[in-house]
Amino acid sequence: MIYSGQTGITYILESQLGAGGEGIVYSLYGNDQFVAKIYKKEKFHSDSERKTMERKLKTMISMNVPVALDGIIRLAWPQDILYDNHVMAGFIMPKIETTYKLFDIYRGGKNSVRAKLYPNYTWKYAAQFAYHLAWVVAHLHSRDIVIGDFNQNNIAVDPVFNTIILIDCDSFDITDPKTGEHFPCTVGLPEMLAPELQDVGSLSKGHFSKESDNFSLAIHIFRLLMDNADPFGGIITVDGSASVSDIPANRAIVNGECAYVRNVPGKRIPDWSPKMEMLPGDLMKLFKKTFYYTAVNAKRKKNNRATAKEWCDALKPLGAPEPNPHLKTCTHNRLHVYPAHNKTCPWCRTQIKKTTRISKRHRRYRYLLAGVVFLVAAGTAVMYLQGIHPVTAVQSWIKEIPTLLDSSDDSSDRSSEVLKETNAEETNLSEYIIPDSNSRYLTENDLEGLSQDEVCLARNEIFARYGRKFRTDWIRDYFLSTSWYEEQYEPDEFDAISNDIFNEYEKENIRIIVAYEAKMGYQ
Amino acid sequence: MPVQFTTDPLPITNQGERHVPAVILVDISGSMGGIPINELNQGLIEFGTALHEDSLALGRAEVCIISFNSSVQTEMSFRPAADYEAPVLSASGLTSMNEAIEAALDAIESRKAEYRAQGVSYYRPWLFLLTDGAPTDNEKEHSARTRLQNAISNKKVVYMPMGIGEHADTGKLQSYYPNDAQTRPVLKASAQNFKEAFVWLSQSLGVVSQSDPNVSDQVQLPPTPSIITVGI
Repeated sequence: MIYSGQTGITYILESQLGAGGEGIVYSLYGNDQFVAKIYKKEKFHSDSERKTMERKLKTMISMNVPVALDGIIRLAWPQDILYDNHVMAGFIMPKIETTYKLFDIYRGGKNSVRAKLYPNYTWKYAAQFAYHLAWVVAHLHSRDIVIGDFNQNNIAVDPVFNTIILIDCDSFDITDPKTGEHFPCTVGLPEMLAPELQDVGSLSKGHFSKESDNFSLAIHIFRLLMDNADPFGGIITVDGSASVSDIPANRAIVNGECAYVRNVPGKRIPDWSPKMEMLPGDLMKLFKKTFYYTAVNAKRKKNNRATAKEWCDALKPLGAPEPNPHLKTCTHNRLHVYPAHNKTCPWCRTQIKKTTRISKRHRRYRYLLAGVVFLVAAGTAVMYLQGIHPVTAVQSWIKEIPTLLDSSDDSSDRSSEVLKETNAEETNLSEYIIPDSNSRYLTENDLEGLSQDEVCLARNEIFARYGRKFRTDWIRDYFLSTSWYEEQYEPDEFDAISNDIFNEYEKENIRIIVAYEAKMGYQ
Repeated sequence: MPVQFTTDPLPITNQGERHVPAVILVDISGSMGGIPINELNQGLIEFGTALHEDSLALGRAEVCIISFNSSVQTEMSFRPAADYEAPVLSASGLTSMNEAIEAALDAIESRKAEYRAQGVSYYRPWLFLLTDGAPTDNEKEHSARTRLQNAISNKKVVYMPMGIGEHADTGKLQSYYPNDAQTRPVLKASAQNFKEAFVWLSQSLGVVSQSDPNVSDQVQLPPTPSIITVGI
């Protein structure tokens, strides 16, 4: 397929690289830095729609927006228009080779894409990705460019330079700086839309703005920093029968029902989610500015929303190279990094809550958890642009961005990180008298080296794994001093159901330990 | 006969994202033997492949597979789509479709209870039902139909029936829609060639997982493949 550009250059399209909802992306013959996007016929309902898109692309190209900032591509901005027999068919844009998206960074867990991409991922990475995102938005806003459909599918993650790239730029909300013609963004992912855009019916009647971008930006940053929690989500406590899906879904956004920044009757923050207080005060304040509103004042308060520049200022210190006085590392797990004002590790707390909730079943399906295959393309790279839009005249604050995640975190120090991680695991195991008393049958040999008190604790440890409370003070104090124990069940409550909860190893091991204690005269 | 559980549910992942739970109910009665059961097994494999093609949906969809013949079996309890493993099914016996419908509604209810306990929001659950005949457990039909009709009326479930081959009783499949339903879509395909339906199902779940939950009645699903016709 042959197309001609604005100035008559000929582009030869080679092979299809991917297809989206409204267009197909092709590689270019003899050019590995750019690609072509050809619109599907059904995108345009009339010739005039196609003409409008052509004017929009012309405007975008004439705005001379550098696709690379600090030498790294961060925008799939249109570079040339493709014509087929004088009819606009698509455009040329820089090639973005990554298949990772921002939600791959939101999502943690052992089998996650993130765990494969960044085995040493910590909260500091989250803060750095958030910073990069805010920084690119600040750059666009400084040029009066509105993103509009600012959702996680349109934010690619570059795993080479560890930064983000905004794709689908042709859907941006653009105003021609010369003629003033407005090319509105008309699409949006509902879960990302600001309250003023939630109830407009059709988005073509809505009006995207820097403020609506700021709202979406805050959701992205919230998910990054808060372990992928939904700022408008939570446990509904009003009435057991009212299901979450019965509630018009995005009403929470319309009504400003963010339980993290204000008391929302009938809603509480889930146990697995970190608490807002975990965040440094200035970040908390920015979330409050953005998410503290009600249905009545939502529109009036949209100007209160934290700006991209404000996020940059608040996030930047967290991403600074080590030693970073703003961050602490947990003594039990080197991968637990958190803001320095926290007295205890917030990740240990939420992790315990997560595991106790599922621990009852966990053992039974552990074997099923093996190997999840993600079809993720390997060998990603980013192309530098040369010659088209030289990176010039960037404002001074742009240069302040750390272009890479901390190298000490990421690569050069990796061997020592691995070492520390292993130690951390040992520390955790050493907090048990018999770490595997839930997964194998004990023998007297296991107990012979233990003192009377230790044998007693070994027996109670089997109960403590499930969060049973203890009446005896010294036993209670002992378990409370471990990082893994959390009180959950009253003793009577637990004992009534323990038979259903314990597995065969645990039941048998309790018998073995009781018999041993009797034999030794401990009881 | 009690429902057999061959697997336990797996824990919910990505609790901060809105989930799409889907039960796939499949007929493995004797008449499915030969080409149809192979087509079904292949379809379930391709369903898994298709799930992986949409990485946003992969983290949001959850799947449960229940089969029915003379009895009802949970082949795979609810689990994240990322943990999906296609079962290998073989055909024999009768068609306990009504019991299976109730088992599917039970599975949906218990997964929803889990969502609520963890504060996980969700889209309306899907119930995809594939059969090549008509139910043989007629004594349970009234109860199953009443429950499913109510669930559809109360917007608790999206019912997506599919009849394959000449003997599929599409009228019966349509009778599970509420009496006042405006349309009663039922998918139809040949019993020799229907596996693409599972790719379509996966793509549809992908579309739902990014839709506006306020208007889930009007979500525009991808066009069905040409081998499938839609009766209304």
